[in-house]
Amino acid sequence: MKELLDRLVEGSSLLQAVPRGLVYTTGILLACSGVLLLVSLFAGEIVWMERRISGRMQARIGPNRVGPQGLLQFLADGVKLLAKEDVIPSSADRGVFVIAPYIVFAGVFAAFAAVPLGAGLVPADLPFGLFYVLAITSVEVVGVIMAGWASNSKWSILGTMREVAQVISYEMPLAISALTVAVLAGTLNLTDIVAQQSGWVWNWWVFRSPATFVGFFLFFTAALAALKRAPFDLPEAESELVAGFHTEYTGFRFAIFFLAEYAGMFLFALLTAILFCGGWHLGVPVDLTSGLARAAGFLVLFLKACAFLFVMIWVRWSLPRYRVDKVMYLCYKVLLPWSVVALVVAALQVLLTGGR
Amino acid sequence: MSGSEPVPAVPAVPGVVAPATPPVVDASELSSLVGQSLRTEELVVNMGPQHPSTHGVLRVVIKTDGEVVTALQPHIGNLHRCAEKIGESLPYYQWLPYVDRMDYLAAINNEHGACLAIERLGGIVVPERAEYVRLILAEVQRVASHIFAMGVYGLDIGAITPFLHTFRERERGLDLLDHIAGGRLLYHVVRIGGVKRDLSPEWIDECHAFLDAVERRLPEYNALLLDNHIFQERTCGIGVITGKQAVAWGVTGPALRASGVDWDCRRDAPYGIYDRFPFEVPVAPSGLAGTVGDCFHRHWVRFKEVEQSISIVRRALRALPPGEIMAKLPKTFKPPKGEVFVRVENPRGELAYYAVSEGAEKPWRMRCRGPSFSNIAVVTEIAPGTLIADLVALMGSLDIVLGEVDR
Amino acid sequence: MSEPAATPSAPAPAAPADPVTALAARKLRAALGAAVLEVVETGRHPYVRVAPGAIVAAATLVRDDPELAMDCCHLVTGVDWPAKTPADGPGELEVVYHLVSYARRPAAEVLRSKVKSDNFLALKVRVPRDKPEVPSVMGVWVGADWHERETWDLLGVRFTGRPPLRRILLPEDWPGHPLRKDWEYPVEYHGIPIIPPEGR
Repeated sequence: MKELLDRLVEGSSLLQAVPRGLVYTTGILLACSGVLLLVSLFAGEIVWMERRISGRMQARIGPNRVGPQGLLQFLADGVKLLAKEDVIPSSADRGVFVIAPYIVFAGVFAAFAAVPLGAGLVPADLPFGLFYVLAITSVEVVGVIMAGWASNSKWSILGTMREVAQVISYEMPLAISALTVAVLAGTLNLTDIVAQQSGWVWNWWVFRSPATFVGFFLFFTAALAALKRAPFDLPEAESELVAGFHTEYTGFRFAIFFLAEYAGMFLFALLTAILFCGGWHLGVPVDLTSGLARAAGFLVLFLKACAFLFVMIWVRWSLPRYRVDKVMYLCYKVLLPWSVVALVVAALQVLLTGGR
Repeated sequence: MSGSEPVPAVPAVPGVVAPATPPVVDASELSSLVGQSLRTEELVVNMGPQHPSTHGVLRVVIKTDGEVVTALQPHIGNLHRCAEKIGESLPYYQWLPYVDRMDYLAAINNEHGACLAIERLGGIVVPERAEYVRLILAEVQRVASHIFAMGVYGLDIGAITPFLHTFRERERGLDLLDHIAGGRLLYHVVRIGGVKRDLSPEWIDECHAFLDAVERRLPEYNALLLDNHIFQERTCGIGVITGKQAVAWGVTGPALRASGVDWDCRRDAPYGIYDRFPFEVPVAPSGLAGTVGDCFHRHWVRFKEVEQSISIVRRALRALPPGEIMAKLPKTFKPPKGEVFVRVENPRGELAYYAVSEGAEKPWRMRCRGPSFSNIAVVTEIAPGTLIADLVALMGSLDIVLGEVDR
Repeated sequence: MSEPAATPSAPAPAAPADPVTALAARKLRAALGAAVLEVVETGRHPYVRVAPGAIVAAATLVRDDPELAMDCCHLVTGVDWPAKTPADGPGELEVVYHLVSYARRPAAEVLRSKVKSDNFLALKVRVPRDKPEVPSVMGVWVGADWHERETWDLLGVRFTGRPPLRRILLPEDWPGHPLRKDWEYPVEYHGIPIIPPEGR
């Protein structure tokens, strides 16, 4: 980001007159708004995607009226939710109740700061990007606890208890299976990880080692659970807990939860593509340095993310829901041991082959 | 709960002299403090009357320890519409539309039972063709009701797609009944002395097409539910009602057969012309998975019954005799003094009517037993000790209709 | 109950005695003696009527007897029989127990014949309207619980020897028991006006 701004300033005499600090601040703010806009728009489109795909799966049509093929449905939904009455239960803890959705959203949104969307297209190219992304998404749990507790509703409390237990548990297999790639790649920088996957399709991490191959499936499954997607949608299991932690939320605050959920889906779909499936690389050796190729890389990454999103949606609308104890069983007795095994195998591979 | 409290250092009972020990904080006091700070409380939660999985306006007060249900009390009556009081204050003819509204998912079966009771009270003989039409309609209704129950059970377990798939076929079944009766849910087509409308040849073709469609789709439903690993994990061994418990609580219908009791009114106490159509009564164990009496088997019994009903309707459609569909009845129908007790096999269990006539135009007493009424009562014994998710699975598998519980 | 007069389309069937009721009546008479007050073995609705005090003993007998094995209490019904004239006393409330046996399989000839009640038995109890107390059969069949509560709710039959009766279908503060023949519609309920059917 800084290099990009520096180059901009050098190229323009007008900008050189402006203090450097102001340029950076404005640049960062613009980048943030850009990412926010992109993420919000795309989260809205994932909602549309989900509704259309589920409609297809359920022998119905789905939204197809607002915009071409219903693409602008999320705008109509957003306007509707904005126009709704903002109900705050009288016995709720007002302050906490009000800010909880924003903390949930901030947790997801902040993660996008370190996620590269193309070669060089990253707001903050952190050397520890993977660590940052996994850590910052955990903030979401805090928001959920606040929402459930402040609602002063029993169903919300039960949903929150489930959420906290589940998300915190699944962070472990999620992080450990992501580490298999990090160990083999020798870096936590997401751009570098993608750069290592250029060339043919077998250069993708998912195909490069048995550890990462297993890690890929573990990561995706754990991501589903961390996102509270079916079949792990216990925290908001509507047939059991009404709507879990957001039972009492209405209007725009509810929309924020909704947006955060879909932004989270987008985030983890991107991460899966970046870590395991070549990021913006097509899988054939092409030069990606020209501007047009960069744009194409951006598109490739999006398409890969869409493929993973489709799988998430497909799974959600096909499977029944796990029970709370079975979810914990799956985490601690299946995913966690296997991810540790994968990590050990990856570490051994590094020891024996020197990393390559 | 924190368990037994440690003996307090200073007894609270007045008049008892405390031992003369120096007032220092001793270990027992500390542990009592720790115990207090770690005290857990049971949560009393209202499930319903507006809850996604109580299938209507049932209110269940559950006491939970975390996720575990320790006790529960169903409160019914939110949908009470005085069916029996209305039955007493209306002539026999006029009560029939109210019967539809008891189990609104199986209105034909309700009408069938009520008409049988009233006809037996009045000694009315129903024409042959009308009996066939009744049986065909009742079994089509059963198919519609069962596939609906299967789909809704998926919804309870968390699978939304099978619900919409079963709805698609159910809608065809309802269309069929609609073409006969002019209504989707509440028909009033089975009347005292026969049926209101006859089956046309086109209807019969349509009916065959519907049966074929359902038969073709059944494996699809099973792929989504019965054969699904997660579904089996959620239902096998969950909410086990033993045969003894089922019988003692008066559980009937698919839930009874899922508990291993081989009983179906249509076969063992036949009414109408069911004795002409021998069929196989599915009884647990299924040999697929789970234990006898669990949620899985209740779902499985429904699936098997759909197959049987399809075969019954097909045979009945082939054997449909020509003739009248309505018996000749007097203008004012006054059954002689007497009483009858009639039970019929509804999709949800045994629906029973007990009618007392005093020779008047209106019945003296009209009592009906909604099968769901007894089926839901058993939850108080089965549910404690299960998880909230299992309670939902259990109540869903019993397939209750609150219109019938509350009447 | 007397056989009904023939309607135009139905010749009165020759009434066969119901085998289960006959058997139950014999066994109940042997065990309870004079407490068996009335036995109707033929007709559409055969039943055995016992004294209110003997209902639990009768219920236990028909449940435990291996030949009868009435293991399920299918339905508990109350029927109100007010006195025709005030001189006849307070009138009576009748409680009907419809029992079903799942252990007892219907015989093949029963299935073929038109007697379709081979596993079914009705017991009756009559109590005065002003003191409608019947011992509960909940100890014999747990499933009778809600049925008894409903009978209390709608007809005001007080079942004794069981957990406290609570209303089940109507609100706790509903006035009276609506299925009693002399029940009158309240004018209003919590400010909601009630229009009786005659006034509509």
